[in-house]
Amino acid sequence: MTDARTRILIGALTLFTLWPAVQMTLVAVFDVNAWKLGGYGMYATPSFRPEVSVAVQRAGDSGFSVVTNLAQEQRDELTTFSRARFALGRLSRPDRLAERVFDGMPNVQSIRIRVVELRIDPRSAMLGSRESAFSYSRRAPSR
Amino acid sequence: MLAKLGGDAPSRSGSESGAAGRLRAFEIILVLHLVTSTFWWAAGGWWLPTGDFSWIDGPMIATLCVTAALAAGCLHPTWRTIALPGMAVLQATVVIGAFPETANHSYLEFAFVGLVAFFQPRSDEERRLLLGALRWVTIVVFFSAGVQKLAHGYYFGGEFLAFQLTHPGFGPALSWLVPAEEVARIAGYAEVAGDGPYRVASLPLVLLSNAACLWELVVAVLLAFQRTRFPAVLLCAVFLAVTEVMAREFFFGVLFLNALLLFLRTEFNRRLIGVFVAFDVWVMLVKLELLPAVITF
Repeated sequence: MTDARTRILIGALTLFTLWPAVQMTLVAVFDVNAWKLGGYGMYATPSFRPEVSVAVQRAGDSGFSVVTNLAQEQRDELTTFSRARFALGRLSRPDRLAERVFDGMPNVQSIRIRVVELRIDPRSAMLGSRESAFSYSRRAPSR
Repeated sequence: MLAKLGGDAPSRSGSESGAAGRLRAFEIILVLHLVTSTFWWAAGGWWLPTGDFSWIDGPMIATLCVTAALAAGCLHPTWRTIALPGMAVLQATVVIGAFPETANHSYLEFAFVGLVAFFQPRSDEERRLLLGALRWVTIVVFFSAGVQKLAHGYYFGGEFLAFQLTHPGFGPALSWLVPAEEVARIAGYAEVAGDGPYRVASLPLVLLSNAACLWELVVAVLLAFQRTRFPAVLLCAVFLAVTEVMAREFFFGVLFLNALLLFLRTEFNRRLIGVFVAFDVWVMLVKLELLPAVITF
């Protein structure tokens, strides 16, 4: 085998060997799903799909109201975000979902996207939830 | 190190063990498995409800035609050197297409087909390196799976298995190990915040949980050494069969069994090609709803 091919092989196998440690770091820091990203953590943790809801504030409204009748394009984007969040944890943000909602609802001034994620605490074995909220106004997205 | 891992002691008759035959059988089983898993992936996996055949469309048929053509090329002695890299590219497409929800078996399929495509196993040296690389990847997967279970901490007190008690995969089998009132308690949870504890008063379940966790670490070490390979493969096959039957999830198990058979000194995997083919045909017939879906994949 040539030197170049040997180097490629060693590089690829080294990456394959070390990647699970990198993936575990991503799980610890960003709540990435242990089952995902090729770290071979399947069956290592219970896994729950996140619950995502969208609330909007229309021009003239004083508060936010949850949208229950999203258009098909927005529902598709919500599903895409939900699946990405399930796998990537906090590495995934709903910016595109907010864009779709703004595009489809011209009278909406602000959007709040709420994500509820369940997790069993390994110490207490109790099921808990964590809520993340993402706020967007028509001009610039912010957390 | 790879050459050492890919080397086998000569058989009792003194002849070099059949690495070429084993690798070719591995390749054939892998390629047919890739056709099946690509078909399953392109057909929407298990997301679609029964009776929904909307996945049979132009892109799906084109994907299948390309996959079938590549597979035919891989099985042909002359065309394999061109077709195998093509198969690796196709598998990369599957990995990227399903990202970020790509299943671990898809990453592993890509690693295996990438290695097989990378080598031209005509010389003893290349065969030894390929065998060593495939074995190394298998050991890494086992070891990583064990480390993950240890690190996340859901196995010491049996929390993961307790959570699975009311789930269709492991649940029915595990509930034999747990007092009925504990099963009823877990079943009473609606899986909302505040439920728990997901921990049950069952020594057998806790022992099983810890054993399953440590087993993967131990077996990774046992597979690395010639003397302990045979019992390790045997025990692994049993472990895989039990867990995959309980989980009703076979794609990973079949792929991994193919890799495990490479640790044997004989060409036993050649004799099992027919069994693997039967499984692949079965999976496709299930997806086409010509057979009942008694398992997920």
